[in-house]
Amino acid sequence: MRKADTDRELDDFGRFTEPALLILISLADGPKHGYAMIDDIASVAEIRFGPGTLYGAITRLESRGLIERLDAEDRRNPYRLTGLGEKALRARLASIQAIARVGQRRLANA
Amino acid sequence: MSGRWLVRLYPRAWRERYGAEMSAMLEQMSLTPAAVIDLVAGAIDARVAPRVLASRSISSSEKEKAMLSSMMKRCAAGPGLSVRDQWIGASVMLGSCLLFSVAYVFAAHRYRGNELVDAFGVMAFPAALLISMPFTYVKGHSKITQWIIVGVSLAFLAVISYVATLI
Repeated sequence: MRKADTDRELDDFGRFTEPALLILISLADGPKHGYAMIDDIASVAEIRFGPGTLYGAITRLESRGLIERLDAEDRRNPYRLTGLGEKALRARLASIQAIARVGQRRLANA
Repeated sequence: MSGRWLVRLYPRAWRERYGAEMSAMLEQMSLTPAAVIDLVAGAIDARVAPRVLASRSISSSEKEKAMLSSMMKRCAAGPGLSVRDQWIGASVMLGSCLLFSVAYVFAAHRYRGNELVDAFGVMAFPAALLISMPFTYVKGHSKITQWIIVGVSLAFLAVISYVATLI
């Protein structure tokens, strides 16, 4: 299975790949600041990232142009998905879905 | 306890961009040991792999060249090290290594079979390397950053060395 170019955006994020993906998912329904992202990710994925992990992923996503920072609201800067970030998220979710389908099919035949 | 002081472990350029919002976030959350470890790891990551300065106005090839040059400098001699710094770093590392080795031989002879002594032997060389870091790789950073990076690494090394001797 050949990966789409937009699905390669998170490839070299190392241990920040999962946090970065969850941040993109969190921002998919609108801009959020750091603490709101942590809460949202905890409710969606039952994973509570520490602040170091969250900002390690935010720094990488921002430097890649996948998210962008909005003006500060009371010292808290919300972030939103960019067009590139949305494409990368769609590509990564499609890839995960395809892998999950294969896994489920194999389990069904086991 | 607020963890705002931990933000100071991050590089200045990083703090200028994200410091205020991270401080605001830390005021909202309770500082658990896990959060402290996470912040220290994040600060090390921000220093080892700085991305904040990688402006999007710089072309990819320029970024690659800058990154390669920075990596080569770090691999060769650490950040901005003079020949004198390199000699001091090497002397501290070799001296500590020698000292630890002698101490280990003495302790192993006296307390034969003791796991703590074995752990000390296991960690002698990497500990010497860590102790030389304030003169080499973390030179130029604040004293508190140096103490935290070296201290936390030594503590971690001691724990895994001890666990390794128990397995």
